[in-house]
Amino acid sequence: MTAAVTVGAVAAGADGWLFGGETAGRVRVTRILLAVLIGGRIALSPFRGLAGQPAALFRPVWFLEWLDRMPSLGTIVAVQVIGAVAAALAVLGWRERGTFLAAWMSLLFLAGLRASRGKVQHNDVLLLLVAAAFVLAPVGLRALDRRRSVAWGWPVRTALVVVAGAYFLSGFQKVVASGPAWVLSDNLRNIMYRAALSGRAPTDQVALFIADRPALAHVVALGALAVELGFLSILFWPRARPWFVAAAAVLHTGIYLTHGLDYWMWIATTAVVLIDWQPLATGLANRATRTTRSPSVSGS
Amino acid sequence: MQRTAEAVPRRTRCAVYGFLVAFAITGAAHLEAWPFTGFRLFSERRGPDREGWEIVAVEHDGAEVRIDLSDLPVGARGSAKLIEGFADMSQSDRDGVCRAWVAPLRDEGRAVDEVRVYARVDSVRPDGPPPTRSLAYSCGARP
Repeated sequence: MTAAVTVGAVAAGADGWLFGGETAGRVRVTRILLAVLIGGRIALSPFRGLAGQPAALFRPVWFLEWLDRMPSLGTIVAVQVIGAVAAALAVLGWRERGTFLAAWMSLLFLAGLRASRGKVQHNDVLLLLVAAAFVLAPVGLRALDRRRSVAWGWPVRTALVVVAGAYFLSGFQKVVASGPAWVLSDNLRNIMYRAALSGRAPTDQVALFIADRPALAHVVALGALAVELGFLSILFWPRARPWFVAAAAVLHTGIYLTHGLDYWMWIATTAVVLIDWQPLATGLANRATRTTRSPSVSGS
Repeated sequence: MQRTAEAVPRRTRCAVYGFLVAFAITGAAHLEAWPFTGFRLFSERRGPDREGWEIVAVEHDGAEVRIDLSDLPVGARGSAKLIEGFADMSQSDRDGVCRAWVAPLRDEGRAVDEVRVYARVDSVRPDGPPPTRSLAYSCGARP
């Protein structure tokens, strides 16, 4: 009885938080920034290189199983153009829901093609999952609107859960698969030696610097795992969010320097979601207004 | 502020919960339904030995040319994962994959007779033993 009451109270509390209030401006600004990331990713990633892949290597993800091979160059470029234009229009606020959905679906399609080479790809997963929460989000909101309502809170809070959950689950899987040995054994030294051998990073010096120092390797492993598992705290402790954005930046920059892996979209998405950019947008708008008015004041 | 029940339509609430449940189940149970994923990022403990595959093209004179998939076009990178499924593939399907790997060499006019896939064990340590390898598959002979 007591347990049931406790579970019920926790569920009610979680529901109350998930569907709690946020400002209209935060929803609009977050969607603008996500559209910028989606558009940039679509336009700048080398998706065109996927065209011409021999059909024997094509292993489509589940929602692309209707394809029997990688699409042609023309098709990929067309989807890139449609996605980039749609993202730009979503930034401008033109038919927001439709244009944002088109941009998101374009990236889903293109990143899905990249994930159809037999290997799970995580590079765009966080951006896609976070942006999915904004596909159904309320539209027609103004970036400078500071009114707060429960009608506008759930997209931002769902995105917060996804970011926190993605990092937490990454750490959780390490604990499940390896246990304390992930930190306490030579695991991270071996990871770093492997990374140095792979030759994919811009330098092997960072990986070897860590690998050659067992105590440092344990500290780095503990730090990485603590950051990932600790990400859940952003849900309960808003003041920690900027620190976790910085920690994610350090984590992924370290992965790039040691492994050459591209996780920049994880950093950018985390920053977009964890930080409330709406006050900054307001500040920029106020400054622009003052700048516009000042010549007429000085001239009168 | 409006109350939640009035402000957020029931179908939206269901969609949010459905989305988060899918995210949590795939993430916790290590299921892959991309972009929902099991988040296994460096999760398995690495030992001092790296077990992998070495793909070589065998030229007409018997010389072996190592194929580095990261040097191939974007569409072929990462496809070494397909070798894990070779045991369940027909020889014809294996041949298709192997021919795709050596297509750039053949396009250059190199006389590649077949592809050999070795199971290879490397020590990652600077003072480790030399690598060992054993032939796992032969495939990709000229059709």
